[in-house]
Amino acid sequence: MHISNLFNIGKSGLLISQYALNVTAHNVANADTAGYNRQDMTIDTSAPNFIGGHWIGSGVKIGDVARSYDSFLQLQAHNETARRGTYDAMSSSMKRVEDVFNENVSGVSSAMQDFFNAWDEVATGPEGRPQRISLIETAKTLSARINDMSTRLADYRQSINNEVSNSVKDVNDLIEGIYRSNRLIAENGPSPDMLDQRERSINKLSEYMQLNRFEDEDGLVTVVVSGQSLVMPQAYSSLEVTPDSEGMYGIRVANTGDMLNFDNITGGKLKGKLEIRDSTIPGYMDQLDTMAYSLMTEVNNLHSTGYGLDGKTGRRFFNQPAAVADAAANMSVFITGADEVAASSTSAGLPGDNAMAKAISDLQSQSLVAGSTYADYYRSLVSQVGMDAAAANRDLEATDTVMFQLNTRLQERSGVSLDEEAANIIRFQRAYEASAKIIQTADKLFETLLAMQL
Amino acid sequence: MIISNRTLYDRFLLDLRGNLSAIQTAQEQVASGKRINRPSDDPTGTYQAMDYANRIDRMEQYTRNTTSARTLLSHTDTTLQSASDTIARAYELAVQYASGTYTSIDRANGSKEVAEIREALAGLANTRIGDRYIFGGWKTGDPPYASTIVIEPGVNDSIVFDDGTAGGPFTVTLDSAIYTPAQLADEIKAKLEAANGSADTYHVAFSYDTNKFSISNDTGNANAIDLLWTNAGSTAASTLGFDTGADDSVAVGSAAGADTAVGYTQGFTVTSSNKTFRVDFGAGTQTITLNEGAYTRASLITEIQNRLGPANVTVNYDSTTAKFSLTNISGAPITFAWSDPLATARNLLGFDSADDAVPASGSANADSAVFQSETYKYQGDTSSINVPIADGAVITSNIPGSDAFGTVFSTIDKFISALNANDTDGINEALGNLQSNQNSLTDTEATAGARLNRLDIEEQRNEDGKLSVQQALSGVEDADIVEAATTLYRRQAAIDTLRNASIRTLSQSLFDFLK
Repeated sequence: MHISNLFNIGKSGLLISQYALNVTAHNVANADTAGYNRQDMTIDTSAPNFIGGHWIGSGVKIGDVARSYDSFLQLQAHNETARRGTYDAMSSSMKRVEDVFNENVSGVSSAMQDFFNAWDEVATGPEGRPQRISLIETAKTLSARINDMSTRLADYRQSINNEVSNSVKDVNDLIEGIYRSNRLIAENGPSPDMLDQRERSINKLSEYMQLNRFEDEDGLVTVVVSGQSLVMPQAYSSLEVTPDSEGMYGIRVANTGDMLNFDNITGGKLKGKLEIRDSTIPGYMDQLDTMAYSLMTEVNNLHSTGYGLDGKTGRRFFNQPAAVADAAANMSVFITGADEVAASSTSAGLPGDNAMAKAISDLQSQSLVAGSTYADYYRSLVSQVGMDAAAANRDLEATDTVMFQLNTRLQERSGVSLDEEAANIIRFQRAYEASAKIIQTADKLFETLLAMQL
Repeated sequence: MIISNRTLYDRFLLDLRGNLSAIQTAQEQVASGKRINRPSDDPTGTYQAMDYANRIDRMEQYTRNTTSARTLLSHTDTTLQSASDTIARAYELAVQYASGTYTSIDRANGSKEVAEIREALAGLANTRIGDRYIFGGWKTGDPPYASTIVIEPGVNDSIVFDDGTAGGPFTVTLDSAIYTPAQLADEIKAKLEAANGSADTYHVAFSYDTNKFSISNDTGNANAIDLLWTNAGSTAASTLGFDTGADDSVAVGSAAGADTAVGYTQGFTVTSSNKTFRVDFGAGTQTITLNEGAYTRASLITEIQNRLGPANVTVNYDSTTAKFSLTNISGAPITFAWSDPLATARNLLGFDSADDAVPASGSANADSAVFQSETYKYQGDTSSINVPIADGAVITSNIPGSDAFGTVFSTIDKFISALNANDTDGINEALGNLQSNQNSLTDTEATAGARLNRLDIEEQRNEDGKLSVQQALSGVEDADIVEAATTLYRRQAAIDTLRNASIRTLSQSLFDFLK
């Protein structure tokens, strides 16, 4: 038994308190850092000395500095992030798509009613040129509005396509980042901050697409997306985009050329964007085309059997579209002059015969497209867009709530409470003071010893 | 369990965001006055709002259609009232002149007033609103009651013109028929273009305002044309109103207008009431009937000769006296039994009710001149102009002149003939016919009145319907401003509380108490 042992114990206490304060300071400093997991230092007793037949303690040492971390919750967070990514992409895309369909903006519904009303005007005054000219103008307006709608949808689809391409660049940065973190962990060992950093990258990646992660015994992760290993302990694979015949990008693994099949990927921003690009918008455009094609064809069928003021028959009203596809984008009026409007059903009845104008006006109340009237079909389409947009918003809100709850649980496990850290500071400060007191006491013991006048 | 500062902060943000977004929505509603500002705000409501908006547009169109139909029908109604008054005046004159106290001179003078009445009635029957003749059925572009021009073969059927090309001058022969001026214009154009073998096109126009033709040589044609009216072959010149003393040279891109208004000439109309002969060729009195239809003078003569037998009778018409004569060439006596009530053809040809016994090679001369069969002939059709006035409902916005005026013009024509011929029987007949014309006119006027009533009812229904749809639209679409404002206030208060609370929870920690 030696007084110097007392010094050593006091010294180890001082050091441990300093270390513990360092860890606490690190926690406080990172209290707001996203993806930061609280670090806890565990303290062990030093190896005791066997003195005089007894084990006498020799002080304290650092047990471990580790992240307070729940891998199961973390996995759930990745999955939920991916789901939220899907709905986020869909909700923000649908906001723009529904703007196109907003009647205040598009005016297709009212333009269509104006078009049929204009035929009524011609029917009440088949001799008049002003009514006929006004009819041609309303038909042009209707065409222009439907063209515009089709163009805006196609443009937006193209811009989503560009976003897909840009997202792939971000994804490649993340893949490379995860690989670099893997390498640093392999070389320097698994430091908590390095693990946090890698976890952040993986979480960010799952925002783009749903992924699976596996960890080997050295703590190195493998990231698998749709059966393709993008990050491995020793290597990584970048993605690249490849355009199809329409110029729409598919995504494939650069070094193998294997396409990523998004049917197998359940979530992520990319998934949401591709869904909107490949299914939602084309679906709306198809319906618009179907309506435009049917409207033009039905009007033409009647119009071509009627007679214009110039006595001629066989003229179409709209330029007859070749096929349903792109009918909305190409909708245009064929006739140009007031005389060419075939309001009459007979040549003999010119100019007072209004039967054809009335027959065309009557098209508005017939169920000619998918069992609906044109107005009804279009209204249903807009309503469908609204429901899709509302569903995307609701899904996003629901995942936001789930995410909040999940984050709360993650924070309960891994978050930093400043109160708690402040309490720790006091605790470690007190421990430091107490250890200092031990050294002071040891010093006094020495003094006493040295002052002995033998 | 640790409540981290981040959790507190996130919770604060989540609550703040929720309230801010509710405030934004309420603010948008207050600003736009609308509950639905994009389809996703209420997809079903969006559908309904669009439906209601379309229905309102449609109903407004029905109101415009109703207004337009009312204009036509009320015009029809007042015109028919005037026509009824006019016929009543003719009826008074018929009553007056049917009495025996008038001389033939009185009656002949009276015929002038009746002729004026006929013109007034024609003016009413040719009423138009804008460019639209309301009594023409579908044929609203030309006057429904028009005088006709008769083209007779060898009389007034040819035009000679020269365009300087080989083979000229060319003589064109018009088809002989009874034409309206517009039809004749089309016939002249077709024949001119067909005559010279060139690709040149011409336009022939007739103005109902000046009653004159004009012939134009279209821009882009190769040759100027000379219309050789002075040529004896141009028999149509005076019928068309061109001066036979001067030719017209028509340069490419210009037109030659007629010098005078056309002289209308009338054809003959054979109907069930004037088609029957009672003739005795020696083997007893037999009935011979003409085919009904419209005839030129020449074709009527051919028809009568064919029916009576070309070997029996030749028919002549003296254009100075305007009287027919029937010459017996059968070699045996023929008796025309005009006294037989069945022998209505006497009216067509101008014979009185005394039998004519015609010896072989003799002639029966008509007693009165036959000018015209009908001065104003209906050129329209009987089609209805139907206008939609409610979902699935239409109203017929016109009454064809043939329904309204019926045979009134031929009645008046006969009345005038009877006055000129001092024929009291004819005047008495006209009296009866005017009465029945008046009746059918009154009936159609009642039809117009009934339709006007129906328009009023439908319009009222339409207005009521529009109001209720507007209310429904407002119910679906309009924001509840009071509720929006309350939400705004409530959420603002919630945010204030949240901020106050957060100042305490977020800004403070144990550090604040460490000295």
